Amino acid sequence: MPSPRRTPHIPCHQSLCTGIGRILTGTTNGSGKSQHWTVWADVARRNAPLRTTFIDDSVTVLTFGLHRSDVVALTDDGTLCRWRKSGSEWREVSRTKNIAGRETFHIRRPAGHENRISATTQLGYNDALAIGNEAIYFGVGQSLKKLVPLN
Amino acid sequence: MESGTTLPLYDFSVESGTRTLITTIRQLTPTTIIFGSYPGGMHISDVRQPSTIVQRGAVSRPPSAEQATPLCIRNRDEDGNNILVCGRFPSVLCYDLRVGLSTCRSVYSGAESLSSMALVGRNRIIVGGSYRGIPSNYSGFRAKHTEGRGTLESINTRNLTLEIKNRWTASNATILAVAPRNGGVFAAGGSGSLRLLSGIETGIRDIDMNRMITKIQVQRSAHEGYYDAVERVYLGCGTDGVACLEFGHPSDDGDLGGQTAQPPGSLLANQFSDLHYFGRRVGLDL
Repeated sequence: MPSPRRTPHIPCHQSLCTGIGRILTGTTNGSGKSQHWTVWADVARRNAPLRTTFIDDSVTVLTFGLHRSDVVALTDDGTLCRWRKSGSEWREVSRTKNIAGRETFHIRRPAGHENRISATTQLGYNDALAIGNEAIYFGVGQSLKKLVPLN
Repeated sequence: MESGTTLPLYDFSVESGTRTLITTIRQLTPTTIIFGSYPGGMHISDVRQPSTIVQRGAVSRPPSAEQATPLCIRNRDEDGNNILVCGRFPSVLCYDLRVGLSTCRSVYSGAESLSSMALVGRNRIIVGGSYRGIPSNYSGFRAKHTEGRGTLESINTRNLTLEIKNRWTASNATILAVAPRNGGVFAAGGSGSLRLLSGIETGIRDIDMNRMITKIQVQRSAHEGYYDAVERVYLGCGTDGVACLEFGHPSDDGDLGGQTAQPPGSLLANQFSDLHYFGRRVGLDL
């Protein structure tokens, strides 16, 4: 005799949206600041457990990519930042010199402007970063650059 | 600290005339990169010859668009001779680089802007962007509901045809980033949340990040037996830096609410649970 099929009960008012709450753990994030945003999503029965970590929330990132398990990001001041996971923490391992010029996509957030979703249009339209095995190519405003990593 | 050498390859400031800004870059071969620029340029550079653009092309601005800026470049095939380009124009362009950048084929979608592309399977690409207008299946309010909203479009890259598009339930704001996941895509943008979709039509989970997301990068699971499962998803959050989402990570108190504990990277099993709970799997056969 086949076993009865288990039918999970999902309340009809249950939202698809998984809210996140912030928990300060007191450890450091990639910026070296003593603030580490580790966010535990509610473990809903129907969803995979999820953990959200802000690698570095002190920089404005135009675009980013993965290079040998590191996160490499192009920031709004024209620098390339690299973060590496060490244990459960992310730490910044390198940063290129600031090469911003007049024609960069530098973001100027108005003072007291809390609505980050509408920060700028240009911020959301930049993918000027190509990460290869030997070199990283990136565009800063009008300049095309190449970074040859040492490690 | 700096761990590398930065070399200049090309600077548009040496050219007189238009103000050119580099918007997207793709590496074609170890010695060749292709990049797009505002207001409507496509360029190929041989990195062995700095200060040289070996090929140039201009993206034609359609009458309905204010500009024709390329925003995303992807390979259409494995040999890299054909590339796909989308941007602030209502089409996806396909260039055959053996012919050059002067001509291209296009797939018209009618979107306002197409910001990001994700290759799913061998012959399909999912494009995310924004659409301005009244959705075709919407018969409610009129003028005030013509604001931009997110759109997802599926394009067959073999015959370059628009298969389906979702302009109603994809997102309530511009989609800036898409990435492949098993059976569908991740999509995010101005809505402030990361949406997991089965195909491009069925949303199965929203993760509220409460911030703009401009790019998604997935890291595949190395676990055997979990084909195409996602272990980590990285999000570019603009003014809030970069975030890392780890799926299948057990909670800190170890209480999974009745679920069987699963190793990291076991999103696949949970996704099937999602699909089981929320009905049949519709959309694309990926």
